[in-house]
Amino acid sequence: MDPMVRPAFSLLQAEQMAFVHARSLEILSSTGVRVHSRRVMELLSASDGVRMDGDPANGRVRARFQEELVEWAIQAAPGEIEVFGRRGEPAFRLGADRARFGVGVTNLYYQDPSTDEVVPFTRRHMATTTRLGHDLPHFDVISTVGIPRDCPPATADLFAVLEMAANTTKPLVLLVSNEASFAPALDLLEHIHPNLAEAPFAIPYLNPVTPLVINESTGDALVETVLRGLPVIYSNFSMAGASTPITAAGTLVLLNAELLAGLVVSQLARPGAPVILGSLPSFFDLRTLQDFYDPHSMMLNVACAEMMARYGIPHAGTSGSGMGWGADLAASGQLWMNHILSLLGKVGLVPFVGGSLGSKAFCPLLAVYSDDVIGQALRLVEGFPLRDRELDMDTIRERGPGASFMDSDLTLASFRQAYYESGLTPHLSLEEWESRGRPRFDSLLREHTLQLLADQAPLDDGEELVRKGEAFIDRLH
Amino acid sequence: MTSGSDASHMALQELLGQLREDLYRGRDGKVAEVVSRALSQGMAPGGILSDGLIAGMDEVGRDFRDGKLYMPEVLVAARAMKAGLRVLEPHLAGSGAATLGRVVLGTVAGDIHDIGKNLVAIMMEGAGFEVLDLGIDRSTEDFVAAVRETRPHILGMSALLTTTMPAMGKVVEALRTEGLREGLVVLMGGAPLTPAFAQAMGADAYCRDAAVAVDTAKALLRGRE
Repeated sequence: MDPMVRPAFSLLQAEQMAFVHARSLEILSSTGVRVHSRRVMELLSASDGVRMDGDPANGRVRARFQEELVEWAIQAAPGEIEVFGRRGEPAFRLGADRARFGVGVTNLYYQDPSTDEVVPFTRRHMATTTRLGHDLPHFDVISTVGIPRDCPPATADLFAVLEMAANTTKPLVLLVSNEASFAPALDLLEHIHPNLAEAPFAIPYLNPVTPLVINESTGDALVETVLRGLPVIYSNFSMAGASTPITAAGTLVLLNAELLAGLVVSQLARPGAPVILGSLPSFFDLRTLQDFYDPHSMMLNVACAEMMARYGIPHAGTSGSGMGWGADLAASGQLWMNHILSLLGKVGLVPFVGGSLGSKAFCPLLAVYSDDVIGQALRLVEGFPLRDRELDMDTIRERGPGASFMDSDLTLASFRQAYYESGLTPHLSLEEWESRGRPRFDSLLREHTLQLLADQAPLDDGEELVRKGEAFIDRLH
Repeated sequence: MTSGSDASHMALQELLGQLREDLYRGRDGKVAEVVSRALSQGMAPGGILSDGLIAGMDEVGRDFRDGKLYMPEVLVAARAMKAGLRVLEPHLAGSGAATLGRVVLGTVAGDIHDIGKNLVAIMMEGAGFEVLDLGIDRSTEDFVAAVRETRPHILGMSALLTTTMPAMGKVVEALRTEGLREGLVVLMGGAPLTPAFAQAMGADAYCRDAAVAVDTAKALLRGRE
């Protein structure tokens, strides 16, 4: 008997994965992808496994991939990627580990935790939200939380990267909005940490344009990242019914094909390059024209993770954020569904927690709440051991009917770890709740979040990093 | 008892009602057929356009805005509108019937996202505007050249990326420099935009979706009549 009781969730059977893979290859060989990046065109042109149509001189070609080339790329890419913290300490191994969570991403606004007011995201917000993610124990990475709108567009990405590096030692997931800032952002990180490629603590995150377009900035950045020896996340975003077929099946296969195209490019650039693949499978409300996460989004997220596990490619998926109008019940439901399924499925990274109002506003309250959800979800998926030593049979036998277990040896040995204790929700009796003025959970969450933000102090090397980075940015501009 | 001309008028009104109904339901073959029948019965092309096709699309747009219709239903209605226009257009030349206005649309430089812009084009056409869609990743010079050559009533610009949004302001500035801004309605849209940003970039209005774009275009042109 397996001594561990563990909840399990799996979606695709082996034959179903083979079907998805075969149809993905069909898309790549028959429809192919449109390529706008000259760096990618050069790589593909040099390969025998790609048929190119169109004139590279006009900046756009159609590339169709032979099956053998795709299979080669799958085999060439590493199955595990070691991710490091900023100070060089190993953080986790993607591809060989449970789901890891992060705060994010590229929000234009900041939802004030005192008032719920939405204000433009600033450089100061980047510092405080990064630090918030750093302080919350269940977040393992910090993604680019927002776009500082009080900085000039030419340097906003650079100051964002700098504040991320200065306010956490956790690994970073980098999203650079301005394509002209992509290489300088990596230069900046290499400037403050010359051994970046040896112990990568920053992973660029890139999106193709669904359906089936490798746009210039994404293609160029993919090649640039791979050649610098850094791992890269190649992730696509769908709006089912608009940019992908309206069905889960059609979306899954189309997105899978796109990811395989990105994989091929990365491996042609440098065989063995560490690549992390995944999707953000949203739906498109054809009545209101808003994108949103349907329950099928969460299922597709797990299905994508299973496909990547089949290929032996590390995965980065969706985070269930963006729904709701702050830390409300709607957002809470999505987070729960996402976090539990991510931990039960084969999901690798869950990098973008904390977005609200259609992922336009970062909501610190939501990030703090999510941290507690992750804690509970981890507790749920860890299961429990089913062995004689945990049964406490001796106490049952010795003390008999009507006995108390409060001072048994087993209780004394394990009571501090025996159940999940939330830092957010005290276990109040009805009378205590009444006597405290009938507090609402959201008011406790607000108090707790504000306290976390008030308690923030700079990291010991933070100010020096900012000085060094600002001097670098000054020289660039 | 009705006179012959009353009966004929009623028959034509029924025909227009049928046309609007078929268009609303997206029956493109039926729309083309009813337009042909209306022409053969002597109805003025301009009346078929305004009281049949455009009025039908107005209803579609209104019901879409009110959440009664879904975008695919708007798209098939627009397809039906085009089928009707194909039959009608040879008769419109010289009839004096005009479109609601000429629109130039495009996604700005560096941005290749076009779902929203395409929806605006479809709904503008459906509403009776003449649309020139410049496509994606269009430079400031492309916009200025299109405005100079086609002299549109409306210029619509779209951006999905925060980094490409400022390109809209550059286009407006270039239009001013070239003396082309005056009299032109400039609309801006795209997921990351806000009304304040659009205003700062020199837009006459921010349009949060395609239906709003159509309503805004109509309202602003009416205001300039």
